[in-house]
Amino acid sequence: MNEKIWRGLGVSAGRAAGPIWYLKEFQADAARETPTDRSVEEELARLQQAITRTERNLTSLEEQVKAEQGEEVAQIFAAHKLLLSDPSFIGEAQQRLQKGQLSAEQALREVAEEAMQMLRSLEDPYFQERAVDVQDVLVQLLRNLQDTQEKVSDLFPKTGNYVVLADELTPAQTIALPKERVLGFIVRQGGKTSHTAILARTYGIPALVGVAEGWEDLRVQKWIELDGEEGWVRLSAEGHITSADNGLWEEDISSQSGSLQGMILAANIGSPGDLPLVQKFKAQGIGLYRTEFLFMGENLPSEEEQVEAYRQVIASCAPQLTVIRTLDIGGDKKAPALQLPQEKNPFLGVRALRLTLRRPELFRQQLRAIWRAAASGPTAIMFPMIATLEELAQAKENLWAARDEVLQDGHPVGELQIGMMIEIPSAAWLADKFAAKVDFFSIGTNDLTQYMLAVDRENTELAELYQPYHPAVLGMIARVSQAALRSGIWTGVCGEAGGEALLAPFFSAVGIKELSMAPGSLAKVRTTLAKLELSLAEREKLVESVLACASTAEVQEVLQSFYPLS
Amino acid sequence: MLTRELTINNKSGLHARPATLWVQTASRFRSKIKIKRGGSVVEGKSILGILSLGLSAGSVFELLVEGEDETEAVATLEQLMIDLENQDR
Repeated sequence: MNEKIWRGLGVSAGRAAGPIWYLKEFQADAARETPTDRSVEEELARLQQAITRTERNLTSLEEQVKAEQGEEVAQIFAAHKLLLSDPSFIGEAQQRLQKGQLSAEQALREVAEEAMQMLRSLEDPYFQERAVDVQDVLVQLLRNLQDTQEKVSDLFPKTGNYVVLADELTPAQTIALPKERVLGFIVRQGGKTSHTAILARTYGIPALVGVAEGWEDLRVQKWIELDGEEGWVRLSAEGHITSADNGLWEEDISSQSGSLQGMILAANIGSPGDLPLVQKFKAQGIGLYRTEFLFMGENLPSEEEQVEAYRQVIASCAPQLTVIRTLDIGGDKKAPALQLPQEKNPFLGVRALRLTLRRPELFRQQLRAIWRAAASGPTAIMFPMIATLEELAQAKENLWAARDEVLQDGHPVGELQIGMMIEIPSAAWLADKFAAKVDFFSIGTNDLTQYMLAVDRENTELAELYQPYHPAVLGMIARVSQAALRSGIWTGVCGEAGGEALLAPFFSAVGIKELSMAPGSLAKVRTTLAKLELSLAEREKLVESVLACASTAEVQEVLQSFYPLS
Repeated sequence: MLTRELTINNKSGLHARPATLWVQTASRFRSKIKIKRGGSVVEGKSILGILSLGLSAGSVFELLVEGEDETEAVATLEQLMIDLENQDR
């Protein structure tokens, strides 16, 4: 065996081996970058059009990523959008175009190269890495200028698993790759805080960055092995394929299955495109299927398109349960095709069920699609943003009417568990009344926290006040779960708190049956629950101590003392 | 015109996420906003401009705000710096 070894910075733990796939840097068509006969006005208009398209792409990426991976990762794309309106970037490019003789491509490239050079010359590596952001935006603008449809996902081989090698890997590229077939990332540039590092960790894919030495040699190898913790790459025998999940987590699952104190660990998803991640992280079903994304495009989906999208998820998760949430638009989620009026206070306005009850056609269509899709496997439906029993009654009326319509159309219908989200304090308080009317509760901790502490979770100035660990929030959750248990129905938690390893034992102790989270959080929560064996007395003690706390800080201290997480 | 001398107290400085928040916040105001550090003055609503100053932890800079909503802008940006520092804890 060859002893050759390459070193880099390990940024996402795990070991993997497989064939190399090298991602070439995007080369814009050089001929198009030379001065053209077009007038200055034409070039400016082309640039503007490319900006508009890029902005649209970035917005949809941001929304998608925010829902799937959380705020931290989505923020990358918010930063990219700022570049599109940056006077020192786009403004500067426009000024150069004004002078004539340059194509929009050239002007952009000039300005971007200067910006990247400026950033790379800064001392702090945090700042140097921001050059990748400029590169990412530049590539997207150039593509949109040239209408190049060539996407990373088209370049990636159609079959097989690969270790991805790239000189630089932009977040948009990383997200476009079929992650289930990516064994690892090796990137020449970048440091610990690079986007590749953050994304690789969210996806649980081993990654190495900053592998500058010997790069040209590494690039032409065929089969390699990497360790994303120790930070090395070496040659490996051809035909040898391993991925991080069957090294790291397979063991966890086999040795600990059945010992999760009866807790079901499910995944939150936004589209059928997330299914590979669900399988990779071995989720036990889908605890939250957000249907918003279907509705966020320029056109609304047809009933058939909806049936197809739901069916794909349900069939792939069967025999495990898929919980579909009806449309939750409004608040922070926009849908241009629905032409919603601007509201002064969107989080307290016409969002989610409040919207669908006002748009019966839209609502019925979705309900029909869900009934039809439910024929392909175990399915549950839940309604978001319920404040009163009347709303629940109306939603259920629509649900039964939709079932009749489907039967009249001659389509088969499936069985549905009917549930509701608990995220508004009034519904949480009346949980015992609601429990008599539904099959299950799913607690949306993000909104419950926001509404209980009266803090807009988008308002960065109040970030400190947004406290999912607040004893009032946890007390409310305990109360809801106990009301559900008394009525013989089950309760899940599907907000971001559901993916917090520190809270999992508490949730288990108050009788929560399912935790649903971003697929990337499953391994950690699973390991935490499996390691912890609490007796009944200890569980009672845990709940009692948490509920006796007066502040978030106290709660965190109590939780840490019960099971210190390394 | 209002001016303030501010210090970066969060541990990673005014890079990616903090700089994004800064620009998003600054852009809400109509006032002209500039940041001065050493000999360079940059546009306070430009993410590239801000990054170019390389404001890492401990850096001191001058904030210059001029316009109809300058008082509110200065107060909001000062508060943002405090929030960023608190988030590190």
